[in-house]
Amino acid sequence: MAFESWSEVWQMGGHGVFVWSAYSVTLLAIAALVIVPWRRSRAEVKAQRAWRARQQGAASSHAP
Amino acid sequence: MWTFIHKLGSPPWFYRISGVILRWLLPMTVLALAVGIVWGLLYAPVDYKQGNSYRIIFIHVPAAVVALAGYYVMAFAGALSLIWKIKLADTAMRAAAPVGAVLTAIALFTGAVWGKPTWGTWWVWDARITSMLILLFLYLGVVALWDAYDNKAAAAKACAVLSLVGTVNIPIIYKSVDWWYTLHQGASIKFSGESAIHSSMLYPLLLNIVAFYALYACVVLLNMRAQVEVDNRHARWLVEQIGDD
Amino acid sequence: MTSLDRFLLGQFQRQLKLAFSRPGEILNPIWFFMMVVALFPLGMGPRPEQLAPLAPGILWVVALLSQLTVSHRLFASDYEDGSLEQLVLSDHPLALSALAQVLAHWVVSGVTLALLSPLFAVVLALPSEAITTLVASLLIGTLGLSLIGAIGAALTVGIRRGALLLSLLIIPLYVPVLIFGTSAVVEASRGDDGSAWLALMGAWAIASLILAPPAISAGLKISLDA
Repeated sequence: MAFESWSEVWQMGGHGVFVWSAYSVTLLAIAALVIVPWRRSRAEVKAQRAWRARQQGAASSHAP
Repeated sequence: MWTFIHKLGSPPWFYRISGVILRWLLPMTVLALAVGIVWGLLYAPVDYKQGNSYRIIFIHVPAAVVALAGYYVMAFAGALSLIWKIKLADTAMRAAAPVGAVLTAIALFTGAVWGKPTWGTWWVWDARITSMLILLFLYLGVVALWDAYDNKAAAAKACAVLSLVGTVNIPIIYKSVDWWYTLHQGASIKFSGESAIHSSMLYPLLLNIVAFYALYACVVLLNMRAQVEVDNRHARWLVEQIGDD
Repeated sequence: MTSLDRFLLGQFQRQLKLAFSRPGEILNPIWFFMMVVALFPLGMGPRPEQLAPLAPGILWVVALLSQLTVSHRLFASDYEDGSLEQLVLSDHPLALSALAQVLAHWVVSGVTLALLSPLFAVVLALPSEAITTLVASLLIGTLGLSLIGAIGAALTVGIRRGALLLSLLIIPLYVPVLIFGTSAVVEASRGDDGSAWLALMGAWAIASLILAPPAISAGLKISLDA
Protein backbone atom coordinates (compact mmCIF):
# COMPACT_ATOMS: atom_id res chain seq x y z
CA MET A 1 0.00 0.00 0.00
CA ALA A 2 1.16 3.53 -0.74
CA PHE A 3 0.01 4.69 2.70
CA GLU A 4 1.21 4.04 6.25
CA SER A 5 -2.16 4.13 8.03
CA TRP A 6 -5.90 4.42 7.36
CA SER A 7 -5.99 8.03 8.51
CA GLU A 8 -3.42 8.80 5.83
CA VAL A 9 -5.65 7.08 3.31
CA TRP A 10 -8.51 9.27 4.43
CA GLN A 11 -6.49 12.49 4.25
CA MET A 12 -4.64 11.70 1.02
CA GLY A 13 -1.93 14.19 1.92
CA GLY A 14 -4.40 17.05 2.16
CA HIS A 15 -6.19 16.17 -1.07
CA GLY A 16 -8.68 13.83 0.58
CA VAL A 17 -11.69 16.07 -0.01
CA PHE A 18 -11.02 16.18 -3.74
CA VAL A 19 -10.16 12.53 -4.25
CA TRP A 20 -12.97 11.16 -2.14
CA SER A 21 -15.64 13.49 -3.52
CA ALA A 22 -14.63 12.64 -7.10
CA TYR A 23 -14.72 8.90 -6.38
CA SER A 24 -17.97 8.97 -4.42
CA VAL A 25 -19.86 11.02 -7.01
CA THR A 26 -18.55 8.74 -9.78
CA LEU A 27 -19.54 5.59 -7.92
CA LEU A 28 -23.00 6.98 -7.16
CA ALA A 29 -23.51 7.84 -10.81
CA ILE A 30 -22.34 4.38 -11.89
CA ALA A 31 -24.65 2.74 -9.36
CA ALA A 32 -27.56 4.80 -10.68
CA LEU A 33 -26.69 3.85 -14.27
CA VAL A 34 -26.95 0.17 -13.37
CA ILE A 35 -29.84 0.28 -10.91
CA VAL A 36 -32.27 2.43 -12.91
CA PRO A 37 -32.62 0.06 -15.91
CA TRP A 38 -32.39 -3.00 -13.65
CA ARG A 39 -35.32 -1.86 -11.52
CA ARG A 40 -37.30 -0.81 -14.57
CA SER A 41 -36.78 -4.23 -16.11
CA ARG A 42 -37.65 -6.04 -12.89
CA ALA A 43 -40.91 -4.11 -12.47
CA GLU A 44 -41.87 -4.90 -16.08
CA VAL A 45 -41.05 -8.60 -15.74
CA LYS A 46 -43.03 -8.82 -12.49
CA ALA A 47 -46.04 -7.13 -14.09
CA GLN A 48 -45.91 -9.49 -17.06
CA ARG A 49 -45.63 -12.57 -14.85
CA ALA A 50 -48.61 -11.41 -12.81
CA TRP A 51 -50.57 -10.81 -16.03
CA ARG A 52 -49.74 -14.31 -17.22
CA ALA A 53 -50.77 -15.84 -13.88
CA ARG A 54 -54.12 -14.04 -14.14
CA GLN A 55 -54.57 -15.29 -17.71
CA GLN A 56 -53.92 -18.86 -16.67
CA GLY A 57 -56.21 -18.50 -13.66
CA ALA A 58 -59.00 -17.21 -15.90
CA ALA A 59 -58.42 -20.03 -18.39
CA SER A 60 -58.55 -22.77 -15.75
CA SER A 61 -61.71 -21.37 -14.05
CA HIS A 62 -63.50 -21.58 -17.39
CA ALA A 63 -62.46 -25.18 -17.82
CA PRO A 64 -65.26 -27.69 -17.19
CA MET B 1 -22.42 -10.85 -41.92
CA TRP B 2 -25.91 -10.49 -43.32
CA THR B 3 -27.41 -13.28 -41.22
CA PHE B 4 -25.53 -11.97 -38.20
CA ILE B 5 -27.13 -8.54 -38.61
CA HIS B 6 -30.52 -10.12 -39.02
CA LYS B 7 -30.03 -12.25 -35.97
CA LEU B 8 -28.96 -9.14 -34.06
CA GLY B 9 -32.15 -7.52 -35.18
CA SER B 10 -34.30 -10.29 -33.74
CA PRO B 11 -35.51 -9.39 -30.23
CA PRO B 12 -35.89 -13.00 -28.96
CA TRP B 13 -32.34 -13.82 -30.00
CA PHE B 14 -31.03 -10.60 -28.52
CA TYR B 15 -32.94 -11.06 -25.30
CA ARG B 16 -31.64 -14.58 -24.73
CA ILE B 17 -28.00 -13.82 -25.65
CA SER B 18 -27.86 -10.54 -23.75
CA GLY B 19 -29.19 -12.33 -20.68
CA VAL B 20 -26.36 -14.86 -20.89
CA ILE B 21 -23.77 -12.15 -21.52
CA LEU B 22 -24.95 -10.03 -18.61
CA ARG B 23 -24.91 -12.97 -16.21
CA TRP B 24 -21.14 -13.17 -16.78
CA LEU B 25 -20.20 -9.63 -17.71
CA LEU B 26 -21.91 -7.81 -14.87
CA PRO B 27 -20.15 -9.63 -12.00
CA MET B 28 -16.83 -9.43 -13.85
CA THR B 29 -17.31 -5.71 -14.39
CA VAL B 30 -18.06 -5.11 -10.73
CA LEU B 31 -14.99 -7.13 -9.78
CA ALA B 32 -12.74 -5.30 -12.27
CA LEU B 33 -14.02 -1.91 -11.11
CA ALA B 34 -13.52 -2.83 -7.46
CA VAL B 35 -9.97 -4.05 -8.08
CA GLY B 36 -9.11 -1.12 -10.31
CA ILE B 37 -10.43 1.48 -7.90
CA VAL B 38 -8.81 -0.02 -4.80
CA TRP B 39 -5.56 -0.40 -6.74
CA GLY B 40 -5.65 3.18 -7.93
CA LEU B 41 -6.72 4.62 -4.59
CA LEU B 42 -4.52 2.64 -2.22
CA TYR B 43 -1.72 0.80 -4.00
CA ALA B 44 -0.57 2.99 -6.89
CA PRO B 45 2.39 5.12 -5.82
CA VAL B 46 2.00 8.81 -5.03
CA ASP B 47 2.77 11.20 -7.89
CA TYR B 48 5.81 13.22 -6.89
CA LYS B 49 4.46 16.41 -8.46
CA GLN B 50 0.71 16.35 -7.85
CA GLY B 51 0.57 14.29 -4.68
CA ASN B 52 -2.49 12.14 -4.13
CA SER B 53 -4.92 14.28 -6.14
CA TYR B 54 -3.63 12.58 -9.29
CA ARG B 55 -5.52 9.44 -8.19
CA ILE B 56 -8.61 10.99 -9.79
CA ILE B 57 -7.02 10.03 -13.13
CA PHE B 58 -8.12 6.43 -12.55
CA ILE B 59 -11.77 7.40 -12.99
CA HIS B 60 -11.43 10.61 -14.98
CA VAL B 61 -9.60 9.23 -18.01
CA PRO B 62 -11.68 6.01 -18.31
CA ALA B 63 -14.91 8.03 -18.16
CA ALA B 64 -13.65 10.46 -20.80
CA VAL B 65 -12.38 7.72 -23.11
CA VAL B 66 -15.60 5.71 -22.96
CA ALA B 67 -17.78 8.83 -23.26
CA LEU B 68 -16.09 9.73 -26.55
CA ALA B 69 -16.19 6.16 -27.87
CA GLY B 70 -19.83 6.02 -26.81
CA TYR B 71 -20.75 8.76 -29.26
CA TYR B 72 -19.39 6.63 -32.09
CA VAL B 73 -21.25 3.59 -30.75
CA MET B 74 -24.46 5.64 -30.76
CA ALA B 75 -23.83 6.93 -34.29
CA PHE B 76 -23.03 3.40 -35.50
CA ALA B 77 -26.31 2.16 -34.06
CA GLY B 78 -27.99 5.09 -35.79
CA ALA B 79 -26.42 4.11 -39.11
CA LEU B 80 -27.60 0.50 -38.67
CA SER B 81 -31.07 1.76 -37.95
CA LEU B 82 -31.12 4.03 -41.00
CA ILE B 83 -29.58 1.59 -43.47
CA TRP B 84 -31.06 -1.76 -42.41
CA LYS B 85 -34.09 -0.39 -40.54
CA ILE B 86 -33.34 -2.57 -37.53
CA LYS B 87 -35.64 -1.64 -34.68
CA LEU B 88 -33.21 -3.03 -32.13
CA ALA B 89 -30.60 -0.52 -33.37
CA ASP B 90 -33.06 2.25 -32.46
CA THR B 91 -33.28 0.78 -29.00
CA ALA B 92 -29.49 0.63 -28.77
CA MET B 93 -29.17 4.27 -29.82
CA ARG B 94 -31.81 5.34 -27.34
CA ALA B 95 -30.00 3.41 -24.59
CA ALA B 96 -26.56 4.77 -25.51
CA ALA B 97 -27.37 8.50 -25.51
CA PRO B 98 -28.07 9.07 -21.78
CA VAL B 99 -25.29 6.70 -20.69
CA GLY B 100 -22.80 8.63 -22.79
CA ALA B 101 -24.10 11.91 -21.38
CA VAL B 102 -23.66 10.68 -17.80
CA LEU B 103 -20.11 9.47 -18.50
CA THR B 104 -19.26 12.83 -20.09
CA ALA B 105 -20.65 14.59 -17.03
CA ILE B 106 -18.56 12.32 -14.78
CA ALA B 107 -15.45 13.18 -16.79
CA LEU B 108 -16.19 16.91 -16.50
CA PHE B 109 -16.95 16.74 -12.78
CA THR B 110 -13.89 14.69 -11.86
CA GLY B 111 -11.79 16.95 -14.09
CA ALA B 112 -13.02 20.02 -12.21
CA VAL B 113 -12.38 18.42 -8.80
CA TRP B 114 -8.92 17.40 -9.99
CA GLY B 115 -8.24 20.87 -11.31
CA LYS B 116 -8.79 22.62 -8.00
CA PRO B 117 -5.79 21.17 -6.12
CA THR B 118 -3.64 20.90 -9.27
CA TRP B 119 -4.18 24.22 -11.05
CA GLY B 120 -5.83 26.12 -8.19
CA THR B 121 -9.10 26.54 -10.07
CA TRP B 122 -12.20 24.45 -10.68
CA TRP B 123 -12.49 25.26 -14.32
CA VAL B 124 -9.98 26.03 -17.02
CA TRP B 125 -10.89 26.57 -20.66
CA ASP B 126 -8.35 24.01 -21.67
CA ALA B 127 -8.70 22.37 -25.09
CA ARG B 128 -9.62 18.94 -23.78
CA ILE B 129 -12.07 20.17 -21.13
CA THR B 130 -13.77 22.45 -23.65
CA SER B 131 -14.08 19.59 -26.12
CA MET B 132 -15.67 17.41 -23.44
CA LEU B 133 -18.16 20.18 -22.67
CA ILE B 134 -19.13 20.34 -26.35
CA LEU B 135 -19.45 16.54 -26.39
CA LEU B 136 -21.89 16.83 -23.49
CA PHE B 137 -23.92 19.37 -25.51
CA LEU B 138 -23.95 17.00 -28.48
CA TYR B 139 -25.25 14.16 -26.31
CA LEU B 140 -27.91 16.36 -24.71
CA GLY B 141 -29.02 17.45 -28.18
CA VAL B 142 -29.72 13.83 -29.15
CA VAL B 143 -31.62 13.21 -25.90
CA ALA B 144 -33.66 16.41 -26.35
CA LEU B 145 -34.48 15.61 -29.98
CA TRP B 146 -35.65 12.12 -29.00
CA ASP B 147 -37.96 13.50 -26.35
CA ALA B 148 -39.41 16.14 -28.69
CA TYR B 149 -40.79 13.60 -31.17
CA ASP B 150 -44.07 11.90 -30.28
CA ASN B 151 -43.60 9.30 -33.03
CA LYS B 152 -40.73 7.21 -31.68
CA ALA B 153 -39.87 5.58 -35.03
CA ALA B 154 -39.35 9.05 -36.47
CA ALA B 155 -37.45 10.08 -33.33
CA ALA B 156 -35.01 7.24 -33.91
CA LYS B 157 -34.39 8.26 -37.51
CA ALA B 158 -34.00 11.92 -36.62
CA CYS B 159 -31.55 11.10 -33.82
CA ALA B 160 -29.65 8.79 -36.18
CA VAL B 161 -29.22 11.64 -38.69
CA LEU B 162 -28.21 14.04 -35.92
CA SER B 163 -25.67 11.67 -34.39
CA LEU B 164 -24.15 10.95 -37.82
CA VAL B 165 -23.85 14.69 -38.46
CA GLY B 166 -22.24 14.96 -35.02
CA THR B 167 -19.81 12.17 -35.82
CA VAL B 168 -18.60 13.96 -38.92
CA ASN B 169 -18.20 17.14 -36.89
CA ILE B 170 -16.49 15.78 -33.77
CA PRO B 171 -12.98 15.55 -35.28
CA ILE B 172 -13.38 19.05 -36.76
CA ILE B 173 -14.61 20.42 -33.43
CA TYR B 174 -11.72 18.79 -31.56
CA LYS B 175 -9.15 20.05 -34.02
CA SER B 176 -10.56 23.58 -34.07
CA VAL B 177 -10.73 23.75 -30.27
CA ASP B 178 -7.12 22.60 -30.23
CA TRP B 179 -6.06 25.41 -32.56
CA TRP B 180 -8.15 27.89 -30.62
CA TYR B 181 -6.37 26.88 -27.44
CA THR B 182 -2.88 27.17 -28.91
CA LEU B 183 -3.79 30.61 -30.26
CA HIS B 184 -4.89 31.85 -26.84
CA GLN B 185 -2.53 29.86 -24.69
CA GLY B 186 -0.51 32.90 -23.69
CA ALA B 187 -3.48 34.22 -21.78
CA SER B 188 -4.11 31.22 -19.53
CA ILE B 189 -2.36 28.58 -17.52
CA LYS B 190 0.14 26.56 -19.47
CA PHE B 191 0.36 22.84 -18.98
CA SER B 192 3.41 20.78 -19.56
CA GLY B 193 2.98 18.04 -22.12
CA GLU B 194 2.15 14.55 -21.00
CA SER B 195 5.16 12.81 -19.63
CA ALA B 196 5.53 9.07 -19.90
CA ILE B 197 3.42 7.43 -17.23
CA HIS B 198 5.10 4.84 -15.03
CA SER B 199 3.81 1.29 -15.33
CA SER B 200 2.82 1.18 -11.65
CA MET B 201 0.29 3.89 -12.51
CA LEU B 202 -0.43 2.70 -16.05
CA TYR B 203 -1.67 -0.80 -15.16
CA PRO B 204 -4.46 0.28 -12.80
CA LEU B 205 -5.42 2.93 -15.35
CA LEU B 206 -5.65 0.37 -18.15
CA LEU B 207 -7.64 -1.97 -15.92
CA ASN B 208 -10.10 0.81 -15.17
CA ILE B 209 -10.44 1.73 -18.84
CA VAL B 210 -11.34 -1.88 -19.62
CA ALA B 211 -13.73 -1.94 -16.65
CA PHE B 212 -15.46 1.24 -17.81
CA TYR B 213 -15.89 -0.20 -21.31
CA ALA B 214 -17.43 -3.32 -19.78
CA LEU B 215 -19.62 -1.17 -17.57
CA TYR B 216 -20.77 0.77 -20.63
CA ALA B 217 -21.69 -2.47 -22.39
CA CYS B 218 -23.58 -3.71 -19.32
CA VAL B 219 -25.56 -0.52 -18.86
CA VAL B 220 -26.48 -0.25 -22.54
CA LEU B 221 -27.58 -3.91 -22.57
CA LEU B 222 -29.61 -3.46 -19.37
CA ASN B 223 -31.36 -0.43 -20.84
CA MET B 224 -32.01 -2.22 -24.12
CA ARG B 225 -33.47 -5.25 -22.33
CA ALA B 226 -35.77 -3.05 -20.28
CA GLN B 227 -36.97 -1.40 -23.50
CA VAL B 228 -37.36 -4.72 -25.34
CA GLU B 229 -39.52 -6.00 -22.47
CA VAL B 230 -41.81 -3.00 -22.79
CA ASP B 231 -41.94 -3.10 -26.60
CA ASN B 232 -42.73 -6.83 -26.69
CA ARG B 233 -45.11 -6.87 -23.74
CA HIS B 234 -46.95 -10.22 -23.48
CA ALA B 235 -45.28 -11.58 -26.62
CA ARG B 236 -45.23 -15.36 -26.51
CA TRP B 237 -41.44 -15.67 -26.73
CA LEU B 238 -40.95 -13.15 -23.96
CA VAL B 239 -43.42 -14.89 -21.69
CA GLU B 240 -41.52 -18.12 -22.26
CA GLN B 241 -38.17 -16.53 -21.52
CA ILE B 242 -39.06 -14.73 -18.34
CA GLY B 243 -40.80 -17.83 -16.95
CA ASP B 244 -43.02 -17.98 -13.91
CA ASP B 245 -40.68 -17.61 -10.95
CA MET C 1 -30.32 24.20 -69.43
CA THR C 2 -31.96 21.00 -68.33
CA SER C 3 -35.30 20.85 -66.64
CA LEU C 4 -33.54 20.21 -63.33
CA ASP C 5 -31.49 23.39 -63.68
CA ARG C 6 -34.64 25.35 -64.51
CA PHE C 7 -36.42 23.82 -61.56
CA LEU C 8 -33.62 24.64 -59.12
CA LEU C 9 -33.26 28.18 -60.46
CA GLY C 10 -37.01 28.63 -60.14
CA GLN C 11 -36.87 27.31 -56.60
CA PHE C 12 -34.09 29.74 -55.76
CA GLN C 13 -35.93 32.70 -57.29
CA ARG C 14 -39.20 31.76 -55.63
CA GLN C 15 -37.53 31.80 -52.22
CA LEU C 16 -35.89 35.16 -52.92
CA LYS C 17 -39.20 36.65 -54.05
CA LEU C 18 -40.93 35.23 -51.01
CA ALA C 19 -38.32 36.78 -48.72
CA PHE C 20 -38.48 40.18 -50.37
CA SER C 21 -42.26 40.18 -50.18
CA ARG C 22 -41.90 40.01 -46.41
CA PRO C 23 -39.07 42.46 -45.64
CA GLY C 24 -39.46 41.80 -41.93
CA GLU C 25 -37.87 38.39 -42.36
CA ILE C 26 -34.76 40.04 -43.79
CA LEU C 27 -34.66 43.05 -41.51
CA ASN C 28 -35.49 41.44 -38.18
CA PRO C 29 -32.22 39.51 -37.82
CA ILE C 30 -30.36 42.68 -38.75
CA TRP C 31 -32.24 44.60 -36.06
CA PHE C 32 -31.47 41.80 -33.67
CA PHE C 33 -27.79 41.96 -34.55
CA MET C 34 -27.74 45.72 -34.09
CA MET C 35 -29.55 45.71 -30.76
CA VAL C 36 -27.46 42.96 -29.22
CA VAL C 37 -24.28 44.70 -30.37
CA ALA C 38 -25.56 47.84 -28.65
CA LEU C 39 -26.01 45.90 -25.41
CA PHE C 40 -22.30 45.22 -25.06
CA PRO C 41 -21.10 48.82 -24.58
CA LEU C 42 -24.06 49.31 -22.23
CA GLY C 43 -23.03 46.27 -20.26
CA MET C 44 -19.27 46.68 -20.30
CA GLY C 45 -18.71 50.40 -20.50
CA PRO C 46 -18.10 52.64 -23.49
CA ARG C 47 -14.29 52.83 -23.53
CA PRO C 48 -13.02 51.90 -27.02
CA GLU C 49 -9.82 50.34 -25.69
CA GLN C 50 -12.03 47.99 -23.68
CA LEU C 51 -14.37 47.15 -26.55
CA ALA C 52 -11.81 46.74 -29.34
CA PRO C 53 -10.12 43.54 -28.12
CA LEU C 54 -13.49 41.87 -27.59
CA ALA C 55 -15.07 43.16 -30.81
CA PRO C 56 -14.17 40.14 -33.03
CA GLY C 57 -15.68 37.71 -30.56
CA ILE C 58 -18.77 39.83 -29.92
CA LEU C 59 -19.45 40.36 -33.61
CA TRP C 60 -19.10 36.69 -34.43
CA VAL C 61 -21.15 35.43 -31.50
CA VAL C 62 -23.94 37.87 -32.25
CA ALA C 63 -23.87 37.02 -35.96
CA LEU C 64 -24.16 33.36 -35.01
CA LEU C 65 -27.13 34.02 -32.75
CA SER C 66 -28.91 36.15 -35.32
CA GLN C 67 -28.47 33.33 -37.86
CA LEU C 68 -29.94 30.92 -35.32
CA THR C 69 -33.02 33.06 -34.86
CA VAL C 70 -33.85 32.83 -38.56
CA SER C 71 -32.87 29.27 -39.36
CA HIS C 72 -35.93 27.71 -37.74
CA ARG C 73 -38.10 29.59 -40.25
CA LEU C 74 -36.18 28.11 -43.18
CA PHE C 75 -38.65 25.34 -44.00
CA ALA C 76 -41.48 26.35 -41.67
CA SER C 77 -43.78 28.16 -44.11
CA ASP C 78 -43.27 25.49 -46.79
CA TYR C 79 -44.10 22.86 -44.20
CA GLU C 80 -47.23 24.64 -43.09
CA ASP C 81 -48.69 25.31 -46.55
CA GLY C 82 -47.84 21.83 -47.87
CA SER C 83 -45.39 22.89 -50.58
CA LEU C 84 -42.68 20.93 -48.78
CA GLU C 85 -44.65 17.76 -49.33
CA GLN C 86 -44.87 18.54 -53.04
CA LEU C 87 -41.14 19.13 -53.12
CA VAL C 88 -40.53 15.70 -51.59
CA LEU C 89 -42.92 14.02 -54.02
CA SER C 90 -41.55 15.77 -57.11
CA ASP C 91 -39.18 13.97 -59.48
CA HIS C 92 -36.29 16.27 -58.67
CA PRO C 93 -33.81 15.20 -56.02
CA LEU C 94 -34.83 16.70 -52.69
CA ALA C 95 -31.22 17.31 -51.65
CA LEU C 96 -30.75 19.70 -54.57
CA SER C 97 -34.02 21.57 -54.22
CA ALA C 98 -33.35 21.94 -50.49
CA LEU C 99 -29.88 23.24 -51.35
CA ALA C 100 -31.40 25.86 -53.67
CA GLN C 101 -33.64 26.92 -50.83
CA VAL C 102 -30.75 27.15 -48.35
CA LEU C 103 -28.68 29.19 -50.79
CA ALA C 104 -31.55 31.65 -51.21
CA HIS C 105 -31.81 31.84 -47.44
CA TRP C 106 -28.07 32.51 -47.22
CA VAL C 107 -28.27 35.34 -49.75
CA VAL C 108 -31.13 36.91 -47.82
CA SER C 109 -29.78 36.51 -44.29
CA GLY C 110 -26.02 35.82 -44.38
CA VAL C 111 -24.90 38.00 -47.24
CA THR C 112 -26.89 41.03 -46.07
CA LEU C 113 -25.51 40.58 -42.55
CA ALA C 114 -21.94 40.33 -43.84
CA LEU C 115 -22.32 43.42 -46.03
CA LEU C 116 -23.77 45.47 -43.19
CA SER C 117 -21.29 44.23 -40.59
CA PRO C 118 -18.74 47.08 -41.08
CA LEU C 119 -21.30 49.42 -39.47
CA PHE C 120 -21.34 47.35 -36.32
CA ALA C 121 -17.58 46.82 -36.41
CA VAL C 122 -17.03 50.57 -36.34
CA VAL C 123 -19.45 50.96 -33.45
CA LEU C 124 -17.44 48.43 -31.43
CA ALA C 125 -14.12 50.12 -32.28
CA LEU C 126 -12.78 47.20 -34.30
CA PRO C 127 -9.51 48.32 -35.95
CA SER C 128 -10.25 49.33 -39.52
CA GLU C 129 -7.66 46.97 -41.04
CA ALA C 130 -9.73 44.03 -39.77
CA ILE C 131 -12.97 45.06 -41.43
CA THR C 132 -12.37 43.40 -44.81
CA THR C 133 -11.45 40.18 -43.02
CA LEU C 134 -14.62 40.46 -40.93
CA VAL C 135 -16.79 40.84 -44.01
CA ALA C 136 -15.03 38.00 -45.80
CA SER C 137 -15.25 35.70 -42.80
CA LEU C 138 -18.95 36.42 -42.31
CA LEU C 139 -19.61 35.93 -46.01
CA ILE C 140 -17.99 32.48 -46.06
CA GLY C 141 -19.00 31.52 -42.54
CA THR C 142 -22.70 32.26 -42.83
CA LEU C 143 -22.89 29.90 -45.83
CA GLY C 144 -21.76 27.07 -43.56
CA LEU C 145 -24.00 28.29 -40.76
CA SER C 146 -27.02 28.29 -43.06
CA LEU C 147 -26.26 24.77 -44.28
CA ILE C 148 -25.73 23.29 -40.81
CA GLY C 149 -28.69 25.25 -39.47
CA ALA C 150 -30.80 23.80 -42.28
CA ILE C 151 -30.06 20.27 -41.04
CA GLY C 152 -31.43 21.23 -37.65
CA ALA C 153 -34.34 23.07 -39.23
CA ALA C 154 -35.21 20.00 -41.31
CA LEU C 155 -35.15 17.74 -38.24
CA THR C 156 -37.27 20.06 -36.10
CA VAL C 157 -39.69 21.57 -38.62
CA GLY C 158 -42.54 19.31 -37.52
CA ILE C 159 -42.02 19.90 -33.80
CA ARG C 160 -44.05 22.49 -31.99
CA ARG C 161 -41.82 25.01 -30.23
CA GLY C 162 -38.91 23.64 -32.22
CA ALA C 163 -36.96 26.93 -32.28
CA LEU C 164 -35.24 26.48 -28.94
CA LEU C 165 -34.61 22.80 -29.62
CA LEU C 166 -33.00 23.74 -32.92
CA SER C 167 -30.54 25.98 -31.07
CA LEU C 168 -29.64 23.17 -28.68
CA LEU C 169 -28.92 20.82 -31.56
CA ILE C 170 -27.01 23.25 -33.71
CA ILE C 171 -24.91 25.43 -31.40
CA PRO C 172 -22.29 22.72 -30.71
CA LEU C 173 -21.88 22.24 -34.46
CA TYR C 174 -21.24 25.96 -34.90
CA VAL C 175 -18.12 25.83 -32.72
CA PRO C 176 -15.53 25.36 -35.51
CA VAL C 177 -16.84 28.23 -37.62
CA LEU C 178 -16.92 30.52 -34.56
CA ILE C 179 -13.30 29.66 -33.82
CA PHE C 180 -12.16 30.10 -37.44
CA GLY C 181 -14.08 33.36 -37.84
CA THR C 182 -12.97 35.06 -34.63
CA SER C 183 -9.38 33.88 -35.07
CA ALA C 184 -9.25 35.37 -38.56
CA VAL C 185 -10.59 38.71 -37.35
CA VAL C 186 -8.36 38.75 -34.25
CA GLU C 187 -5.25 38.15 -36.36
CA ALA C 188 -6.28 40.81 -38.86
CA SER C 189 -6.92 43.34 -36.08
CA ARG C 190 -3.39 42.70 -34.79
CA GLY C 191 -2.12 43.56 -38.27
CA ASP C 192 -1.33 39.91 -39.07
CA ASP C 193 -2.65 37.92 -41.99
CA GLY C 194 -5.84 36.07 -41.16
CA SER C 195 -6.18 34.34 -44.50
CA ALA C 196 -5.14 30.90 -43.19
CA TRP C 197 -8.22 30.91 -40.97
CA LEU C 198 -10.35 32.11 -43.87
CA ALA C 199 -9.04 29.22 -45.96
CA LEU C 200 -9.98 26.76 -43.19
CA MET C 201 -13.39 28.31 -43.05
CA GLY C 202 -13.74 28.00 -46.81
CA ALA C 203 -12.83 24.32 -46.59
CA TRP C 204 -15.44 23.89 -43.86
CA ALA C 205 -18.06 25.67 -45.97
CA ILE C 206 -17.32 23.54 -49.03
CA ALA C 207 -17.47 20.35 -46.96
CA SER C 208 -20.86 21.46 -45.61
CA LEU C 209 -21.97 22.26 -49.15
CA ILE C 210 -21.33 18.64 -50.11
CA LEU C 211 -22.33 16.82 -46.93
CA ALA C 212 -25.24 18.88 -45.60
CA PRO C 213 -27.77 18.51 -48.48
CA PRO C 214 -28.22 14.71 -48.06
CA ALA C 215 -28.68 15.19 -44.31
CA ILE C 216 -31.16 18.02 -44.91
CA SER C 217 -33.20 15.91 -47.32
CA ALA C 218 -33.17 12.94 -44.91
CA GLY C 219 -34.32 15.26 -42.13
CA LEU C 220 -37.15 16.70 -44.23
CA LYS C 221 -38.39 13.22 -45.14
CA ILE C 222 -38.35 12.15 -41.48
CA SER C 223 -40.24 15.27 -40.44
CA LEU C 224 -42.91 14.71 -43.07
CA ASP C 225 -43.37 11.06 -42.08
CA ALA C 226 -43.66 11.80 -38.36
